[in-house]
Amino acid sequence: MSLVTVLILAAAGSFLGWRLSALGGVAGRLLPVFVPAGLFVSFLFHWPVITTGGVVTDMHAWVPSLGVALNLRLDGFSYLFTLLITGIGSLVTLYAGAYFADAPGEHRARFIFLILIFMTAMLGTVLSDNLIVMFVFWEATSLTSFMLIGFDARKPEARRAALQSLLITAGGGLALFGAILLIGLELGSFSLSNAATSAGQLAQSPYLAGILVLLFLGAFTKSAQFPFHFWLPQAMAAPTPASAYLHSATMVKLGIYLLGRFDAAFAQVPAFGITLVVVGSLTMLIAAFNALRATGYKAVLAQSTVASLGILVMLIGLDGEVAAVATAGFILAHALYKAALFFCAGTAIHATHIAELRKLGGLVRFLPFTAAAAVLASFSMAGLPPFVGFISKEYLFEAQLESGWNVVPVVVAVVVNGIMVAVAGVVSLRPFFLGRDKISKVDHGETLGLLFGPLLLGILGIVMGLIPGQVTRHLVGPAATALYGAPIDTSFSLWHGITPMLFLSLAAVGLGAVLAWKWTPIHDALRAAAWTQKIDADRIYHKTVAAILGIARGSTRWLQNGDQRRYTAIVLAMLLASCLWVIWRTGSFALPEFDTILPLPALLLIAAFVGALVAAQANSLIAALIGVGIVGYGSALLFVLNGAPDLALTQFAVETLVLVVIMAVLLRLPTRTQTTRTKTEHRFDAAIAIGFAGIVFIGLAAMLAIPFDDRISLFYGETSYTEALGHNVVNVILVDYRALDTLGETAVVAFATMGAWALLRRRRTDRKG
Amino acid sequence: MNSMIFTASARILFALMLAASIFILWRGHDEPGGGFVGGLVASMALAVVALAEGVPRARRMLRIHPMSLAGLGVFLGFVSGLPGLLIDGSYLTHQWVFFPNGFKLGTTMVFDIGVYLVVLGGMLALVFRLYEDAP
Amino acid sequence: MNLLLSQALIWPVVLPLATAALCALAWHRPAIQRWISLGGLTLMLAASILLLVQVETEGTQTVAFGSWPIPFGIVFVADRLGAAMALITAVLALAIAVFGLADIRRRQEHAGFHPLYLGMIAGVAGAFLTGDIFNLYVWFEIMLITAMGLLAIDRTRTQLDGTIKYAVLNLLGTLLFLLAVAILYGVTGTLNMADLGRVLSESEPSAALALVAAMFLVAFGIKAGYFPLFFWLPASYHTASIVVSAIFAGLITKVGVYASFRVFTLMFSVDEGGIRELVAVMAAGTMLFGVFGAAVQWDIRRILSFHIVSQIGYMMLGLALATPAAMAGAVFYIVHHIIVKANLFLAAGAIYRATGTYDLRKAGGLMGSHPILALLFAIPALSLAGIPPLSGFWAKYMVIDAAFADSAHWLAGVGLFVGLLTVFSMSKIWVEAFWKTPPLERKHARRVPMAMLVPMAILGLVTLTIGFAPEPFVLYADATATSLLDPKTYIEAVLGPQAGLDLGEQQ
Repeated sequence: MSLVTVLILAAAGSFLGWRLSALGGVAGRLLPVFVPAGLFVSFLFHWPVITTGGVVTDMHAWVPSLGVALNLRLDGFSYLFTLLITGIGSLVTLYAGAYFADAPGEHRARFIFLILIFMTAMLGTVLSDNLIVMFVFWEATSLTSFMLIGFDARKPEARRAALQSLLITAGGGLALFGAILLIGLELGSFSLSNAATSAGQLAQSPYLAGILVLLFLGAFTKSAQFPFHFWLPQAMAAPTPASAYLHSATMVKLGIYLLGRFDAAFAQVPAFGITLVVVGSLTMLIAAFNALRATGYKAVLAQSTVASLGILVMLIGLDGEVAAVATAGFILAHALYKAALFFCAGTAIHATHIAELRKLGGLVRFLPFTAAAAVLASFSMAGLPPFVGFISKEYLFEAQLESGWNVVPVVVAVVVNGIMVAVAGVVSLRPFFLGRDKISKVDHGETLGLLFGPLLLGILGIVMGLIPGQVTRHLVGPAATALYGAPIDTSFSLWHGITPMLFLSLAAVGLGAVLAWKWTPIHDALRAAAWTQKIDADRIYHKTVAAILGIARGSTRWLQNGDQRRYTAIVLAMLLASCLWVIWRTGSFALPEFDTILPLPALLLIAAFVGALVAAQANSLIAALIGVGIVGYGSALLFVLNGAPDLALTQFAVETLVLVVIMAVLLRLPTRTQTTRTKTEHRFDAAIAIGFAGIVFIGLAAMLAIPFDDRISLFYGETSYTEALGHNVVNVILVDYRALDTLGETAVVAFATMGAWALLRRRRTDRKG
Repeated sequence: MNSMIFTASARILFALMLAASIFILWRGHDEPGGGFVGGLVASMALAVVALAEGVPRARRMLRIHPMSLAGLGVFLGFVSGLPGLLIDGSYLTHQWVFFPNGFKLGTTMVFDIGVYLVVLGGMLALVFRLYEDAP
Repeated sequence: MNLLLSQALIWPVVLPLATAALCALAWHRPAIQRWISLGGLTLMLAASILLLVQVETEGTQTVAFGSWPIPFGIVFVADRLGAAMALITAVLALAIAVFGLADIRRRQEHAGFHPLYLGMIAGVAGAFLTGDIFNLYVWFEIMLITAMGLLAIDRTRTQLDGTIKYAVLNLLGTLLFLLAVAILYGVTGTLNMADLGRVLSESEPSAALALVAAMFLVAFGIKAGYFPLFFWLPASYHTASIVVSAIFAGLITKVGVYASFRVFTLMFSVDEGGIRELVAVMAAGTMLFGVFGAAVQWDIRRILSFHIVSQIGYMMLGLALATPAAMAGAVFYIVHHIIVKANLFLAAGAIYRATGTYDLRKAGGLMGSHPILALLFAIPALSLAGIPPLSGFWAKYMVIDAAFADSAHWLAGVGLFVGLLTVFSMSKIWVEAFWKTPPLERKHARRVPMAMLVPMAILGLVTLTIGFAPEPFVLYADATATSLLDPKTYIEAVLGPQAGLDLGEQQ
């Protein structure tokens, strides 16, 4: 099956699954599983190509003029992801059916639909070879994540968490978008595989710093790296099946995926690796520490997920073949055990309606198989042999020791792994085996649907640990090869012999055992300490949001304050500034020669000037009106002097009409106006008025310096009677040469009176507002 | 105000002004005048009636709603361009009919009547509203 | 019939104007007006489609009214940009008119809603198709007057307040426009825009022309809602009835954008007189302060109004860069935004119908009670937020990519940041109106009529089409941008090949 067909089927299957799961009973719970399971099987058919180091591609045109092609590419690294996405997706769909067994059909159907749509988006992201297409799917995962976190929308904390995760991931998404555009600009194509082979060009690029920063922002937000690590624990407001799927096994690993994809492209940029190691280490330390503090069952798991993501980021930052193997192996191991643990947590919380880890205990009596699955998964998480987690941890230490880094990251890794061991112990032992008297009854026992997923994943953890050779050859090896960019001779084996790595593992397990034993006092001490509150990144996020909104509020209050005169003043000031700027930049002041002064127009102008002054200074409306009138009649007289009686007549008529109408209105208003303008505002107004007058003067003067081109008026004069059959040129202009303008103006008159007709309608008794 | 004399003279005034307005409209194409001024004069004619005999009376004389009148005016403006479109293939190209005695009639007249009606309807709308409101 | 076809250019303007007149003629019969209006708008849509086809197959169309030789009479010119804008105007006008069947009340019809609405559409279409700068002013005036009538149609105190704020600033802008046209005529002696393009490209720089350019920028800026000239927009849009807000939101500001694009490509150039810097600063301010305003509002209509301002900034970005890619992005942005923003206002109207409030704090629970409305809101909202692969994503992509390519990194950065705040606003509406449990539970949910849902669905479908099959739209925008930046094609189409040749030698 071609890759695009798979994607189309996945999308269509989402809708099918939606309708299927709305069916009641077993059918509604089981049938939707066939959608992801079928896709899983279809990917298995690509196995032969991938294990032999091959690549499956599928190219389609989409928006060629923007360089966007629907180019899909399946190599070892994306193959690992597709199997995880569809495999765990199947288990999640099955689990969700059982989890929402008692919920209304539509509710469950909506959830399954979102899960399947999310799966489609994930598949699209890891299959795209075109960065823009990848981004399209990338954003779709953010959006479905938003919908799933806020799935229980009645809960305020769910809505808050959804919004937070959306802002963080969408913000990161926009940064990533910027990075993609810059990469496209540099390389001339959005092809991901092309970028991987263009390391030299990228390292020389003038955009390098921008690309790196934006890319990091995109990856770190998605994969919850410091300083964006806080959204993931909040996202636990999502229903547990979604947490298992999106927020541990798949979506949060997209940042890792992206960084892995660009590992080869930035091989020549030391800053890339250094940043990843530093950020990864910081993240895992902080998250491990937060895991000790967390109270909720899912919250502890979420913090450990963040720590694991930090480990992965660090691993990508390390050079060498072993790091690539360790990355691929850890992605696999983590997805298996973390999804299983989330399933177990979901079952426990679902059964008891208690989300706090400390209040749970002794559930093994009610949920024995779930307890077994939790133990299996936690062994893998703790990195005990013969589980697959053990092998991946060995590789992690080996990768660190082999890279050129000093001892600090190693110590960090040991400490963090120790805490992970403790977490593994706590999340499996406490709720199921310790504190037998805490829970006396459960509302909802374990059903087959709830059990299948965690048990299968737990068993896979040990099976894969026992046949490491097969796993390497078929899954981890191709992934690591694709990641590294060159064939790797991997030997993923359970027993490496007595190596430094083994001692580090032992140290981690020992530390973990102590921590798990002393969990309660450490936990209480950390919670009580005030200083831990202050470094809460969640608070910093809220402060940042509040600060941006504060700026927004302040600027909006200042700009849009409701004062009409302020608006006018700002607009006029802007007008003045623009005019000054443009005239200055043009730098041409050709003015005409002023030699003669015509006495009569000068006199009229002086009168008009006085009128304007009177209007501006008057406190009484009537005086102002008279002032304006003088200006109007003055210009009418100017028309007379310039031989335009028609214009003058109209001007006289209009002036008179305006005077009469305004007087009629004024009779109903107080004649004295109260000025609300302060002295400063008055001066500002005056400055603007004078400035604008000056500029218009310059403009008009400059206009007169240019000889007038009178071909149009000449044409009108010549053809008015010969062609338009009218002696009255003004009328011919109105009804013929520019009849359309007149038609428009008559419409203006009609519409204006329509408005006035409605507005002047006598108010009846309904005086509502 | 409501004296018989005023009413009677208002009627005469009305007739005279209406006739004048039509004359102004008519001669507009060649001499000063035209639809705009004509419409203004006509609206004053009806305003006089409204003042003398009240708005209801004036509206009855008009028969048609002032807004409809304005609408009709704009519509005539639109229509006056259609013959040009049909004959010359160009909208608003005015067409003329010549009579043997030198008399000429063009679609410009339809256009100008449109202007006349819009101004008349518009002004009357204002006049009626304002006078209605008067105590 | 042949005549009607050959003159397709005039009908998108003349038809709504004639139907407006007919509606006024049937003043007392709202029912008749309703059907006249729908009929006229349908014909207008047909004519606009025809026009677009003609422009695509035969190139730029020109019509001289009264068959006077150019430049002595008035001409209409439809190039790619004008034809596309006319078509989108027709689509939107018809969709919103259908929505109005369910929303417009009898009282508003008696106050002249239909003729005013049609008149406004005629004004908008006229502005897009005219080739004469004074005629453009006439269409601006029609828009201004009809907009005032529509804004104040309910005569409530808030509406009158909004109308006054609209009127004062827009009147100022229109007067500036007139003053600029007057000086321009004084300098060049012509009003035909193609002729102006020819004359101005040959004329020496002058303070008079600089002043005209600045005044055009400010005048169109007021109409378009540029920073810091946009105050009237958020002060008035939320007071109008939702149908009016929707058509305004879609079209009015875009006329300002269109006019500045036309004037600053055909007649003036952004490269002269520091216009580019001015536009760039205004663009950044428009994006930023628009979105800031939206971030702190709770009334859906106010949020959407401020977002109009913010989105206008992206279009200005295209003009500020004035590269073919940037202009193409801006053109694409205009088309996308007209559809999406009007649709969002319609959604706001439907939300009001369902919840009885525009205040997000009081609304809620629509996801459960009105799932179809939720979907119909989500499409334009996600598109506005630039979520791929909806139309807004491609629009942002083209504009921001052009900014990066032109080394205007800071403008691209502002564009990206504003995108994030847009996501914030849209998700805020979503969370509050659709997810949250309403503070006051309604006894029974009010149904949203089909007449509201169908236009929203059609506009949503347009958005989805642009989103999933953007290629033809991108190609069209590219071609539009190329011809915009090469005024010779426009001038030759209007004045004949000789004029263009002269110009070619000049440059």
